Amino acid sequence: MTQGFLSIILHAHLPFVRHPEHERFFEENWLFEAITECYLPLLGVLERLQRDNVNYRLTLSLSPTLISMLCDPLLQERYFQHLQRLLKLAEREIIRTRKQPEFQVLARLYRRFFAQSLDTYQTRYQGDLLGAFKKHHTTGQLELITTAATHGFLPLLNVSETAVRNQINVGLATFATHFGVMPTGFWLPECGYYPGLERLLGDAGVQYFFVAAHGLRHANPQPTNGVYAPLDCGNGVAAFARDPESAEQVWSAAVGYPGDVDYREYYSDIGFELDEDSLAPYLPVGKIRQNTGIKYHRVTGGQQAKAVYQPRAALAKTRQHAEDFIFKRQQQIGRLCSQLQQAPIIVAPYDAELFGHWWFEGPYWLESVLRLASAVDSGIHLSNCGDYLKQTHALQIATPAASTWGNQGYSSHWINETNHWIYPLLHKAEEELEKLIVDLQGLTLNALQTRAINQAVRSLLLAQASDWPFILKSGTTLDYAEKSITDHLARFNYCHDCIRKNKINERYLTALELMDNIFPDLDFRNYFPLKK
Amino acid sequence: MMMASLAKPALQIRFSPQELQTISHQIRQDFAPCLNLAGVLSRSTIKLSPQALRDISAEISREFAPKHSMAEAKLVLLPVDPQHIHAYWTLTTPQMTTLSKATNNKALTLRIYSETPTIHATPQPATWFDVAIHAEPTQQTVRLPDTLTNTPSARLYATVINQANADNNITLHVQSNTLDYVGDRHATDLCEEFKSSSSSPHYSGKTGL
Repeated sequence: MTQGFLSIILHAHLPFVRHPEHERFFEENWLFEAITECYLPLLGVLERLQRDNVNYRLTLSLSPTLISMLCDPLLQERYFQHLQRLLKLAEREIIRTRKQPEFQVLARLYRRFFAQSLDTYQTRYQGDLLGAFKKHHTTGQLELITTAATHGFLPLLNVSETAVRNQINVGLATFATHFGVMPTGFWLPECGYYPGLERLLGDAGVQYFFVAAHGLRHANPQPTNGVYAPLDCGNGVAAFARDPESAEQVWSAAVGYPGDVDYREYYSDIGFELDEDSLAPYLPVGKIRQNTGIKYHRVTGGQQAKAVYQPRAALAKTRQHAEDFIFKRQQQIGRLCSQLQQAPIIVAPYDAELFGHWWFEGPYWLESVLRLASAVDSGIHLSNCGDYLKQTHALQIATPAASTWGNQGYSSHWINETNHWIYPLLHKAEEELEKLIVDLQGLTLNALQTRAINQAVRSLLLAQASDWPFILKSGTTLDYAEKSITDHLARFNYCHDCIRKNKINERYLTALELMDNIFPDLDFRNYFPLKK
Repeated sequence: MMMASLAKPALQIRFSPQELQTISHQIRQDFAPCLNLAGVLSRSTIKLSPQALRDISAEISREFAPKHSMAEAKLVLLPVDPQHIHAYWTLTTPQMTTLSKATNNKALTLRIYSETPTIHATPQPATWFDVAIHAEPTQQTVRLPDTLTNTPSARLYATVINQANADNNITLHVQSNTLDYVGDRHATDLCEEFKSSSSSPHYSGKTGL
């Protein structure tokens, strides 16, 4: 049987949404929902594959902001409380739906799901999800990689090379601190690439990264194997391209698997459907409504009323869709083998949060795909990109084209009339920080001054996250995105100002350190611009 | 024996007290133990309630809100897509005053230059095109002319100028960064590829709650 390679990559990222200044904070739920619906189920998949000796390969990119939040004691404690509230809500739902057996079955299912999540999180992993992922990484089957420190959109930060370098280096250092090794691969935030970025990645020790399909397709010179072989960017750093066919099968709203009529409907949630009294243990009275994760309907389709969710039918559909995915990969590989000079590698990257959060059954689909692809006679060689490079000797040398995986394929989602106002402010802060650090060179700083400059770097990094311009464009939680940018820049301005004036209020500085406690080992000296 | 053999060459080098002081200072500066914030915080005697954190946060956000600086003239070009770039600019207060005296509507010109790569060792002359802008607002997305988007690559830079002086001379206000532009050689196939992701749940998982 013809053989080609298949590399599945999940990119897990959330912006830094930790708010110790509030008892409960709406956006912290993004993390809690992702743990319950995505990260714990993903670990469940990995545990079952290991238990059954399935020889799978999978790559997981964990962003530094997510890494920081997953090991944060405050958020761990709050997640525990969040799950307890969900359990109470599910119990109330079982009582409320006592005369609606088709709903009560689901309410019981959710109670089991939350109870199991609590038990797994608390007893099995003791809150240490990073340790759980690391365990699978050490087997060599799960490759862990990372991304830029706060997921900064690098093509628009490139006005300052120091800023881009800092995003890369702090990201890698955070990963190394938590996993004890440097990652070989690097996920470019939003697959945002510009020619020249490979130099900074190479300097940082990165061996490969990913670009959108047109990034490779329009490379210079044109690649001989299309998007089905990585390129050497000229400095030994390899660029892999996202395969459009496997992307569409999962991502497409029109024909993608998640939109199947049997799958759970994301937008039907009791958080928006029930009266406030019914939601009281979960939803603070008078607070804005939010998802609870308890959803009783399936996609259904068409204009008809949403039908009740049938978990067994949905589970059966994941197997069908996994078989379809593998069948189409086999066909694709067969076709490509006759066209290319070498065995193709199909690179299939997805947002990790799609699996479980948006597509509730996604983790089961992924498990089935990995099982089917791992079968000896599948004709598919599951591989991580790091392993693939070890087996492959000569790559074509070419420079990928500027590209992103966003809408329209370039930067327009991150710079447009809704969010362009942030860039002069970000670039000004980057310039001020660079100048400050150059000015301080040669001076001996005391501990307080050192803390203040490090905090300035943290604030700037947090302001640079690609999430904020993305949200400003998509218009979902506008106020939070706008406030996050302006607050982080104000905190940067405060630190900058007090260092310049040498008037540091330790109480205020401590407050900022407590609120933005990310990257504790950060050293501002690494922000120093390199001589050109 | 080992210590003696290591120490011996050092004895042959002589340092003045000043040199020793400089070396000591340099080592202290370059090799100071890295501050571990977690340690600092755990040792910190400052206790802050959530309310105190909120108050400090609100005060800093109010007093240090980010502002555009007019201390230095600035012009920055950013990549948008093969057909567009984005420009933002700042003029200094004296420049704005001069401009106001010269013209009522503060009309300016953004002159964008493109340099194509050298061919057969012959430097290609820079070409330019003008875009009418105003001193305020200070941002604009610029559509690139077809002559440029048909080239595979170019280096772009720009200036903000005005020709409103009494003698009609050009006044240069500010010069930009350079931007490496890569043309879109296969624009048509992008539409198909991104048809799906434009309406997909990509990323909105974090924001649609």
